[in-house]
Amino acid sequence: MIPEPYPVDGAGLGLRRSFLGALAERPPGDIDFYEIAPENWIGMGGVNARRLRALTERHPFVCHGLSLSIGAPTPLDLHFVRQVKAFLDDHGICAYTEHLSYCSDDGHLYDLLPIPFTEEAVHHVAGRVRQVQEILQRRIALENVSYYGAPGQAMSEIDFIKAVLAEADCDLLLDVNNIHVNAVNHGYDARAFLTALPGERIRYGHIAGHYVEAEDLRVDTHGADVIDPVWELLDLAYTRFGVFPTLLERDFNIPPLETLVREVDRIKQIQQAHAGQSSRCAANA
Amino acid sequence: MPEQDDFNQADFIYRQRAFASHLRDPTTFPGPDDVEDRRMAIYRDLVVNNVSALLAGNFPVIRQILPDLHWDGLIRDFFARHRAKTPLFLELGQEFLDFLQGARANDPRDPPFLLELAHYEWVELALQISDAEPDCRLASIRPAICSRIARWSRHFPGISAMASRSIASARTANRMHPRPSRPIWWSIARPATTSPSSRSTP
Repeated sequence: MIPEPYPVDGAGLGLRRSFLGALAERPPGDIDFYEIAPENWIGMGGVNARRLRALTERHPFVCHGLSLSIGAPTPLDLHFVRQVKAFLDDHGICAYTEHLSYCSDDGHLYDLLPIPFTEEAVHHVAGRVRQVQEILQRRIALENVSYYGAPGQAMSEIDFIKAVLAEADCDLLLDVNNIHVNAVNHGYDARAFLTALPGERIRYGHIAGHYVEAEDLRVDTHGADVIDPVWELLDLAYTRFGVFPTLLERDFNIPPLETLVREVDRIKQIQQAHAGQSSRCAANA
Repeated sequence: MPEQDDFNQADFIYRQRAFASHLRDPTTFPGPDDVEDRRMAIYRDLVVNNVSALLAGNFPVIRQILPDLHWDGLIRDFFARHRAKTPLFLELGQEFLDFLQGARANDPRDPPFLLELAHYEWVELALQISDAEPDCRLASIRPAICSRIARWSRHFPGISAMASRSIASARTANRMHPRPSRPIWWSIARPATTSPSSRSTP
């Protein structure tokens, strides 16, 4: 099956309020698309809402959600899912992505918690993804999240991810920094993990920096420059799966915009080095 | 309801609830026995630091007025005793207000003006993100503001002047919690900058 082209292409940057004004005045030509979390913008009015609207009218955007809590032990917040749909439709944003994680019990905890890697959890998550895709009237991409512990683990992380994607019939947001962080934290080979992923489901990617807590413990802070082993993973991903649109995530210790643009440029250079390959091909060969 | 029964029976559901309960109140609920405590410490810190940073952005004067330990205790109590229903970050301030008015109401540990000051700061934020025209805004908000400020000022006559200066300095100083966090959740209510420092043990 040849998938439809993803709504964005090239290399993108997570939109931050600190440079919203600068972007509105003079958007750098090197940024192909932007990403926002609908949870930061739903209900927003005033000057920032107008600035965002001006940007979404002029540039391609992806939404990357934070509060869907797809794996939660409580029912889906369907009102929120409908709010997300309205937001996507209002801004003409086609792509919605989220985390293969949960962030709530009877209330929100506002951080990404690890879904136990079990078969029952696969069925639970997949059912909810199908329901969300039906309401949103589009496929969604789930991100392979970083995790620091695996409570109740009955299957490997790679098997859990593959099982959810297959049963839900959804896409994968490939985060190469998370693969590196998880490989260090859980003692596996990052390259082997990456190449075992279902390439035909990879539609979009993230790259970011992290915090070194200890030699064997990394924290996914999105607060540092991307390190070379992670750049190498991105290169391997393009080699193995073809080029896919990729976003630089920087949420913390945010440097000036021109510094971020340079990191986005590096994504583009790696993409251009693979320009001869067909992008987003089914690559199980 | 059948769906809720299914939730109650599954082992992974039990583990998720237990995991979250521990993060909400680590002194009362133990962590999972199959995860190293130094890894749970990362989760404990991330959860508290994220919300601490968000709420400090929404309530910068409260953050500046309260000593670090008191603020930290307030955030931990927020997690332990309040169940935030909103998935939207613009509404997190309202959740904090609900907590101060509910579970934390009249807590003897807190300054007597805390709730009124929180209302004042919440109104500021509401005005910033409102689409309402200025005259309509004042007509609907002014009575609430005046009432709150009057009650708040009575508690501590000098606080309103101090708070005005703090609000101005908080906007420029933007002091945040010093521990690194993973602020993938970030407040758009206040500009947020911070410096990295070594993660301290709780």
